[in-house]
Amino acid sequence: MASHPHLLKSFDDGLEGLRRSFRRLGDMAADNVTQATVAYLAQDEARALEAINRDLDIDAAFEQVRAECFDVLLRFQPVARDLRLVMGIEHAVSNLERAGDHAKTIARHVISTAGPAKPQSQDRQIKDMAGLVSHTLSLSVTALVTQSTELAKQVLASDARIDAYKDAVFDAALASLKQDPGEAQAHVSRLFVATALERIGDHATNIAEEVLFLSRGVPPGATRTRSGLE
Amino acid sequence: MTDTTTTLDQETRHQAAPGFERAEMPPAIRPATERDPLRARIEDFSFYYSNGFQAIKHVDMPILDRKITAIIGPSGCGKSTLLRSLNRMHDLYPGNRYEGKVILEPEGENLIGPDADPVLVRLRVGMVFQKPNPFPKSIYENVAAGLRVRGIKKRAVIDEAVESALRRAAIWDEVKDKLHGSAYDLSGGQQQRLCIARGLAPNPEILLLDEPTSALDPIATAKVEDLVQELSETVTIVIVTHNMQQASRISHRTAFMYLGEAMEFGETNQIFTNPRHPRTENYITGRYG
Repeated sequence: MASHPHLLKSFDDGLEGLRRSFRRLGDMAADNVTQATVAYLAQDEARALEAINRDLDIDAAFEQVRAECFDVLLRFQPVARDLRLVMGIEHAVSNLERAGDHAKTIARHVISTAGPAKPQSQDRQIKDMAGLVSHTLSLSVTALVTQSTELAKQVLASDARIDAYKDAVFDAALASLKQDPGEAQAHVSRLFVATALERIGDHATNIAEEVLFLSRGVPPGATRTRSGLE
Repeated sequence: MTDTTTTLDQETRHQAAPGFERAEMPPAIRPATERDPLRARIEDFSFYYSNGFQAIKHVDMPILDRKITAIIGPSGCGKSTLLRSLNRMHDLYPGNRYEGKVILEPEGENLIGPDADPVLVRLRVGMVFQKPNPFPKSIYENVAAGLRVRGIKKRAVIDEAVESALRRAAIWDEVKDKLHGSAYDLSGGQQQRLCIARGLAPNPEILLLDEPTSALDPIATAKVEDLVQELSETVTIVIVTHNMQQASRISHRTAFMYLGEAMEFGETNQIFTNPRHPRTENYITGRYG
């Protein structure tokens, strides 16, 4: 039913513009996760600085989407599915902005780590983890823009894989710390990077929960399950 | 005026709005069992105009005690016809016919039953119309009119009831020094609150409001909306409105009507955030269906 146009064409235009701006912000955030991780793994300071500066663009895009949300609320007073979409995007942009902050954290570890560290097995895991996290974040944005519960469920399913990557990086980094304490700063930095990536995955999960709210009208918390201590 | 409206209703009702084709309409969603106390129950209610046209089709609807129930829907859906049925206004035109029941609680009296006196029903179920329609009399006499119909003659009793009704309608302070001046000298918003006071004076159990603010400016509208919410603490209110923001602001329950049927009834918050029926969704979001 939602595909039917509004009687007021400018309402459709407003919602479409909002979706477009949100998609753009999502692309920027997901891309910066990749760029920051590539810079980290290559210990490329110039690339890391680019990623850090791009966070300012992400912040500006975040403000723009929020302004568009207010605009649509003010001009059209949306209700029902339309209201849930605007509120969903308004919540989701905060997650994207925070994901951008975590990407910046990853890039900062290039600057704060003293010189290139010896390559470790967990670098491969970090690379794969970053690929999965960036893809999942993009998927969550697509799920919201297209209001696809199927894609949202894929995002939710990825969360366990992302957590498993983080655990693997942690185990390897802690083992390396014991074996090679001279590289402690680099090993600890890997822990922080894996944690940042895991948090970005959590933000993708939050966005996917918004999609379920959007489609069902059920608050996001209702889709979570208790799983003991984590 | 009722005659003209009736004719327009009948003309528009024959045609479904674009995209609202009758054949593809899913069945109506029946109201859930209410846990809150009821003031009235509309049961399998139908209404036929004298020409045989069925304007209301098997409507079931609970009316909660001392709550505001909003009825929304496109022009010609039957919402005003349903409202007017609740105080037997259609009886003024011969040949019109009701079926089903409108049970007033807790007495269990059927307002459209053969034993119910339409004049007495109108005292128990008051009505305020779209356009303020004070009588060409003084402010005082407008409010006293319903009391006199009720047979109350004692001046002191009427004085007290008039003041009480004007206070409840939040207009006392504005008119207390000119009670015997013409009601026509009041502004549109004041006239509408006077009409509400007139409806309140016989101390009705239910007050019906038929688009009560559509002829008012935003300030007068805000006063009437605040008033309606205050009144809902002491009297049950059913309001028909085209203004969906108004329905979402002030009502506790909302019914969506379409082509004479109550398509969906529920808590106002649910109707405006997560309607169950696709026709409700399409209507309130301003979409073609």
